[in-house]
Amino acid sequence: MLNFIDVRRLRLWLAMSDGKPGLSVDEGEGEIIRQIVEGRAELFEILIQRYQPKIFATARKYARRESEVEDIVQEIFIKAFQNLGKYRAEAPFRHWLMRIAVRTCYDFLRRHQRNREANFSEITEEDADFLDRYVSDSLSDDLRVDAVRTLIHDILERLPAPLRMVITLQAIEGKSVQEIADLTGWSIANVKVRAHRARKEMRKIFDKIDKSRYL
Amino acid sequence: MKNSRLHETFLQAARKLPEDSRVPYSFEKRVMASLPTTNPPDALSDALALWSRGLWRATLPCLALMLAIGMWSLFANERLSTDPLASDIELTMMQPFNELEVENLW
Repeated sequence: MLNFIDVRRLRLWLAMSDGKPGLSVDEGEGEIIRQIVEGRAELFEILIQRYQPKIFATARKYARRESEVEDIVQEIFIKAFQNLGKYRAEAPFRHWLMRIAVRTCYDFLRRHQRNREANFSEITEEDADFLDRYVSDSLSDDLRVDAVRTLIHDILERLPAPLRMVITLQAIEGKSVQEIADLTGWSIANVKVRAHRARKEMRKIFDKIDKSRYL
Repeated sequence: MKNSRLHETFLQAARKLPEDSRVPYSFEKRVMASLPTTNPPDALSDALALWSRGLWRATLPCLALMLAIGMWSLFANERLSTDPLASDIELTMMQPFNELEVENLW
């Protein structure tokens, strides 16, 4: 049974001990998870503190409004807590949590698919040039980063949920087909088909901008 | 700008964006407050849930099997029996009188 000092020590150790000899991060987390499952729910806060930056970054790739992002992250941690008894420590906890995160984000995209069409604004040649300048410049201020982020959201929102998911994971985050299949629970064949369709859809989107230039 | 180049520029821009991992102040407290009051299911309750789910799933096939066996036994008996049901009833009803006649003979 962990006492208060143990909890403090675990907290400190989780914050500082990545890569140090002795108990590994996964083993330490395994111990915390065992304690949580046995009834010490308050220890779950340690896991939230450790993983919330990564989960927030993931959620912000799919949701635009901050209130939506917070709701998604909260849902992810609640699901993780409710299913903690099913975690078998065969894979690191962060991988298990990321699977829950990606699937929750996918559910969010599907729920918000209905009003997708209504919010479109035209992408202009200026937008394309703006992206080009952002890629070629080495310096970028916060305002510019925010503008690029908004523009990328605008473009990705034109895609159906599965295609947006696959293009984010594969083309932007650089994950392999196998990794995407593990994260989403789709078959490898399904991932490949969706990746192909996503590329085709993206080409259609950029075709419109390309043609508008010569009209 | 050509379509393929535009596509590549878009992907490069998306990859170049820094991860936005800001966390609202005390967010973990909000999550902790919203957690269900019950403990997460442990391995035993998990196994029991699995078992009960299996039983529920077996209900329909078992019901179908029971009906099939019932129908089969009903029709099989009908085919095997040589006397119709009416003659069976008549025989049963007349049995006391048959016995009476036998007694009178003696």
